Amino acid sequence: MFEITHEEENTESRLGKLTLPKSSITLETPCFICSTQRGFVRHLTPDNLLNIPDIELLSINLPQIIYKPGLTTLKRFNKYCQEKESSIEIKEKENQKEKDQEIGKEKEKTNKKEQEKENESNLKIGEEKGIEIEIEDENDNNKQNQIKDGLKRYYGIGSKHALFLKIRNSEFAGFYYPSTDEKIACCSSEGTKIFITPSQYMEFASEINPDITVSPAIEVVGNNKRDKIEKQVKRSLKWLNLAISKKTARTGSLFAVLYAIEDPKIRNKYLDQLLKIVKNGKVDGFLFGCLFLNESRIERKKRISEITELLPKELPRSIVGDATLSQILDCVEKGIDLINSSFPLKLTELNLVLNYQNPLQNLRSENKNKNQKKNKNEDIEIENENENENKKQFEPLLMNLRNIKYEDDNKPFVVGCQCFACKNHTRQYVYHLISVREMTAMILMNLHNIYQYSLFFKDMRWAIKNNKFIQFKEAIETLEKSNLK
Amino acid sequence: MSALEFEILAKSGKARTSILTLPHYKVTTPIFQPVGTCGSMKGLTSKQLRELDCQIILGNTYHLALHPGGEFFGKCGGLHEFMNWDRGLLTDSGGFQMVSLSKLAEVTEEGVNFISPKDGSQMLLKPETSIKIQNQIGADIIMQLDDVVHVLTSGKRLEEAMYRSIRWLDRCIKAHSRKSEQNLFPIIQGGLNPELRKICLKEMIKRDCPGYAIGGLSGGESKDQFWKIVSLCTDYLPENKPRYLMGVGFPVDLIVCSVLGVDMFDCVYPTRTSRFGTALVWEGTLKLKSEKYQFDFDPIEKDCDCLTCKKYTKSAIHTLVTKETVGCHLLTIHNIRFQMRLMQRFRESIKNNKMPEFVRAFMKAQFKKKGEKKIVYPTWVIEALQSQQIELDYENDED
Repeated sequence: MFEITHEEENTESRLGKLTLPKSSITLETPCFICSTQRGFVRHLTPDNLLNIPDIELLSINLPQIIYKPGLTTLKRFNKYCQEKESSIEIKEKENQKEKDQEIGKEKEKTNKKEQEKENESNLKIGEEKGIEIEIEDENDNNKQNQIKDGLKRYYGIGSKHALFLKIRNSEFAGFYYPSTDEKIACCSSEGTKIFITPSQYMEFASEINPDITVSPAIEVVGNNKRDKIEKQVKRSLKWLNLAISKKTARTGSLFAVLYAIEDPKIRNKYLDQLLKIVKNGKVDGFLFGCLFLNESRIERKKRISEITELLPKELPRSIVGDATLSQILDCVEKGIDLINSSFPLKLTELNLVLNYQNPLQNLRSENKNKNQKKNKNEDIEIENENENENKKQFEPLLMNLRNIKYEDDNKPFVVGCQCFACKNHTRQYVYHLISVREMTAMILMNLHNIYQYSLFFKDMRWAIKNNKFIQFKEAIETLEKSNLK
Repeated sequence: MSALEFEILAKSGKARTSILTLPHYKVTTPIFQPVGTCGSMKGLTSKQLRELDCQIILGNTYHLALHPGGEFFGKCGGLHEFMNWDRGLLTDSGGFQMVSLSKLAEVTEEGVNFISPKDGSQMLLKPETSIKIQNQIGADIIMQLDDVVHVLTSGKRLEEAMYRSIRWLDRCIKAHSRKSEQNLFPIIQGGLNPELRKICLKEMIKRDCPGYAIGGLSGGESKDQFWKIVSLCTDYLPENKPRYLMGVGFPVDLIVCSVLGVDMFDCVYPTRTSRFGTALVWEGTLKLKSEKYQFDFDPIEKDCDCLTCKKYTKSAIHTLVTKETVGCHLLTIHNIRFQMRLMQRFRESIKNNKMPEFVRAFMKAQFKKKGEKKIVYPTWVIEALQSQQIELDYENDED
């Protein structure tokens, strides 16, 4: 269920609220969908993931779990969970009965005391003091929200996160296995080639029990010939209808895939047919596939706006791709609400640390002073200038922690950052860990990068709310340019 | 002069449970110390280590001296500050890694000549240098530099190594500059020769150090000889000081040596084996890479309270292990927690005066096999426990 709360005055961007009833989560859009490997954000165990507050939606790419665990394991697991649930219910009912019977019987009370004494002496040899770990599901008093089965329970994804299921065919893994009219070719994470039909995909979806499922589609890749594009468009609409027919409460909300086609005739025909299907009310949103693939920035903007002009406003739009900060703003400007990107993860793999908050603050204070100069007297101007020159230090947007200058640097990654890594550890520690190739370095950098990325989205939402999107975009672009020097 | 206090809470034969108060933390013994080689346990943050109830961890001086180097620690305030760990730390002398990892390792009276893997130059590690670096790192317990020989060495070389270790101990004590903040432990040498061991024990005990370590074992000797030497050492070592057996970490070895009176252990086994997909459980080990766990929806251990056992099934870990780094982290969490719980239950059993029953139950679970009526224990386990009047249970009564 999607609700637009504010439309920015100067652009097509908008603030919204997307409710996901299965997990009782309400997302504020535009927001970030964190990409995962099999449901785990790379390198992070669940207790580490809880250290990042603003991540609420996780995306899963089906080929990663198609082989292991696979459909049979998930089916059996779901059965097992259901049997356990029903046996727990039976036990609870029995306990209730016993409790009712015990009230008002004194003899049983004395027997109880004796039993307790016996129990103490028979205590398991080596009684142990347990450890306290916060695991959110147990603290959730509302049993309806507890995850009962599906991939979330299998992989321990807590109740604070929701799942977004999609399928990317093998071209994106770098392997060219051609898909057919009936099947999608995927590359599993073990490197094997697997074909999956759309109905098998929906079966998978119902076992996984996600919050949002993207309809099965093969993403049109670039410069295909006209008749091939027409074929693919036909096929995707056929599969969308199939997905709608198999949509249940277990498969969650359904998002349709949008193709960014160059030729206006084909595009308009395709959109006509698509919107007819959407009018029936079974499609809950859109996903822009096959962008961020080598097209230029201007082309991408054009493609997106050509389509968003014609889409119904009240349905959320999402996009997939490794987008840098200004590229995301391009998309949001034209009306996109959810962005699925693995940009922070890629930075971590390159040992780069993202510093978003401090350069932006410096920029804001610069601009403030520029505005103040026009209004105030000259004497005060000079004082302000001197102060600011002393305080301001150039802070880069990206820091390469392999650089030897961090060997003696005992500051946190970003001074003032509230993430777990910056509160507890220093730059020199992570420099050391990278040099000796320890895995802990990846964990700390990943935590930090994702946190800074989510701060960026917060600022974006603030900018939209206060109708200052264009200024915000200009600020980000100057930041990125200044770092290219 | 020592910077620790050792208070025995309860005893059961030679085994004892005590509180060891170090400058940074109060540790309860017998305890297992996981190894965090270069300043971090592989894949775990300091916060996670605290949650697993680790009380004291090990750092390898050899790796830390190569990178970031001893002087660095002198500037930044020690390893505690550097890795944000506020509990106990122990560093070894660097001698063992030097001999096993470097290409050339030649031992002279002055020190150990070796080729540094950093830049290929020849370096000399003297007892004084080792102690200086360990002083800079700032751990609660530091080890002397000893003349390490292979455990199966015998004859003149072994004798020479034993006497040299005593001489190097004196040099280490002299060079130690932070006696009120760090405890220097000598390492008893002598291989598998009881007479040499006795000489070494007598001499090193004369130096009146805060605690003692038993070295030169756990390198390929037969277990029969192994337990006898351990028992001999604990007979002679003073009762009111902690005893540290280096390099021992298999669960069966931990329990047997704790019965014989050892207080502290360290080993890379639990962390290393988790990276290959093996989980440690009460009944032995589980190789989670195997296909038979694909449909097994029980947690690794039902009564374990670690994160992995509370949230994940064996089937889930089977799909992750050796494929995702997260799988390795989750198993490491479980294995370390298993070792901590094992030692904790042993300590509680001594307090409750039920140590023999605990050992009996543990050994039975480890060695029983399905379908066999009688349990077969290794001879060394039977003899070692009999020397402390613990009889094992041979009947396999399956449920």
